[in-house]
Amino acid sequence: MSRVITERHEGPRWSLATRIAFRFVFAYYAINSLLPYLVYRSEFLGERYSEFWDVLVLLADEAVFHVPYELFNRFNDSYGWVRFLCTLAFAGMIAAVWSVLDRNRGQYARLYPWLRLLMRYLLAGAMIRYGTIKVIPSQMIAPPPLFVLQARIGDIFPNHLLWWTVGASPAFETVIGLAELLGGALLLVPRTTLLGAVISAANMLLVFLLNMCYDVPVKLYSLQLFVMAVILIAPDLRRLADVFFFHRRAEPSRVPPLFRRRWLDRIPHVLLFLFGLYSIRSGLELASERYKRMNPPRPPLYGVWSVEGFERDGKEVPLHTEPDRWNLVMFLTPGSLRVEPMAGEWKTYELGLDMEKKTMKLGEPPSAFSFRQPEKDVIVLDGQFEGRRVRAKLRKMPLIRRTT
Amino acid sequence: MIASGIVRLIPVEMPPLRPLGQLQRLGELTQGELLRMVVGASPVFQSFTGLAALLGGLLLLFPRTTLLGALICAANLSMAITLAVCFDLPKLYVSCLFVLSLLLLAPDLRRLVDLFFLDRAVEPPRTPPAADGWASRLLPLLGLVVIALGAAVAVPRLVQLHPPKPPFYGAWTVEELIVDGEESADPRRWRRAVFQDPGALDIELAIGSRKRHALDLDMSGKTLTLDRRTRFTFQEPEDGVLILEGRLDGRHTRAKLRRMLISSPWFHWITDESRYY
Repeated sequence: MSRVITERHEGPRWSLATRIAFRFVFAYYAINSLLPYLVYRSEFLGERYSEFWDVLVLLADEAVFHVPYELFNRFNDSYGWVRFLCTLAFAGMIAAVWSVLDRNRGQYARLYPWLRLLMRYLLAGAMIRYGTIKVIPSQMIAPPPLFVLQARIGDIFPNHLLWWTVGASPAFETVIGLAELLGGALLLVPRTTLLGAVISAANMLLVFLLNMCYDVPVKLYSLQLFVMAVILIAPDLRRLADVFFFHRRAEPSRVPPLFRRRWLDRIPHVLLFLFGLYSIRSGLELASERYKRMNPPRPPLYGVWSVEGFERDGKEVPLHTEPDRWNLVMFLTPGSLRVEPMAGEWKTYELGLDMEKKTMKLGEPPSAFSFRQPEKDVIVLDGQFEGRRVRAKLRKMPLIRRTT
Repeated sequence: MIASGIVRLIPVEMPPLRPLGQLQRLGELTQGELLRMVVGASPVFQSFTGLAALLGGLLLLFPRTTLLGALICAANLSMAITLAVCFDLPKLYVSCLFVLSLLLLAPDLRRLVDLFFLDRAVEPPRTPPAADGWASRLLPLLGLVVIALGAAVAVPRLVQLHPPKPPFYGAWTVEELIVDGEESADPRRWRRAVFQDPGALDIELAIGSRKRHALDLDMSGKTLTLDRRTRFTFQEPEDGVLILEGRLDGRHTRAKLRRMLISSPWFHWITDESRYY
């Protein structure tokens, strides 16, 4: 009799595969997220726990993986991979034992809503963190720093190349940040969790593919976030199929309550929502600080300028002829001007710039130049430099023309 | 969507990044050129974007999956519009397609809101989608034709974009140039060397000028001859390092070349820390 009542309350029996998958996922997140959360409350336990992993990772590496990299750094990529694989193995073992001991149970209607809440918390937190830092474009420095503009494409790591590409358009960085933030924010509300998970999955799939294709280091983490979104979607797959494929009536999603009492059941959801709002606020604050730090006030004429024309004593000096002909000019910080000659290292000169009189003093003793700006992206300098009359026509490098 | 998908699935819309292009400075590109260069530089990524577009397009061909197709197309196209606006690329065509995908979504708007925002029971559509009439039966056929035409254009182009690679294919930095036992400071010394087209070596001098030399490579004898006159022996002490030794302009010259980063293999499961920020 009691069994019948339980089933009515807690829904139908799950399939064997679903039950095993649930145990595995639960065990994985218990080890990976819950356990550290509890253990690191205490400094003593936390340190023991970290040491335990150090030992385990080294043992596992010696026995199985043989990673050809330094493992001792806990923030190292290789350490992370070995630890991840160990966690998977642990979760597999726990799921196996659990499945044998608990083979008669039909479903986990009490645990399931808690796991779902945990996943929403983890995924929403990550999406909000990644979203806010892009909304105020400070993850990929936008626009890219000037030293990047003068680098050869071939000298740039592929992952940095991807970074500077996103940074080349601050507006783009903001839009993709909004997409991530939207995914995270929708996860905060029970009713829109599915949509939030779908948007997060789409975002993270793209991020994971980019990380794989451009060798960005956070491959594992982006994959984990994608998988989290997929796990949140999984229970709704039947409804999605009903709507998008079979075109029949789809019932509302049925997540069992966390607590029997209604008011009590609401509390964790409200707390999650408040956590989300708080994360958005602190994320935006952090991002705006970062943005300010990375974008100090810019001097006038900020940018890298190619020296299109260069005349000395009235005679044009073509490109690639004389080593000391100017090649690039950089206005980076107030009071200094950097010049790259055709051959050789960059030189830095003191700069006294008067934007109203349109004059600049260069070097010590100062050479006096007048300049004019016939177009927004063109400056023509005219003056005496190192004892000779110099006239240089500068054009701003294309990549930052729209953004600076 | 199918047409634009197939020419990216077979990655020919954005050409690959070839070694000579790697000598360009990043800032010389416009935003649009940079975007196309970066996508072209990873043919695998380009294929994924093609796959996403193709998937959306193919699902549109069948009445049963039109809604899902329209949703995927709308997602793809909203990204395309964002890129077009932010990177200053043509915007009109993608905007038209985006509006079309929204029109396809419109009749089901209520059901989508019930599903995604209100978590209510979703009623079936009033007129269940069915293949009615010859037009909707013809559509999949039309899709096939577009795929075939797209592939017919893309495959020869792919072959053309990826000619056989000569040995040492890539862009190299001249790390060290020793002339008669001394590090050279000559403004006309070698600075970069590019093996891109068979039988040619492009050399950039420190002063910035670039010249193409005829190249004869003898891989078994480990010699390399420029312009049929200047002969070097070469050795590869490690991966990505090439040492040339010979007489250049009558002086004993030893050049140590190192593969530029982008010319080196990209993919690492485990990333060495220098690549982090």
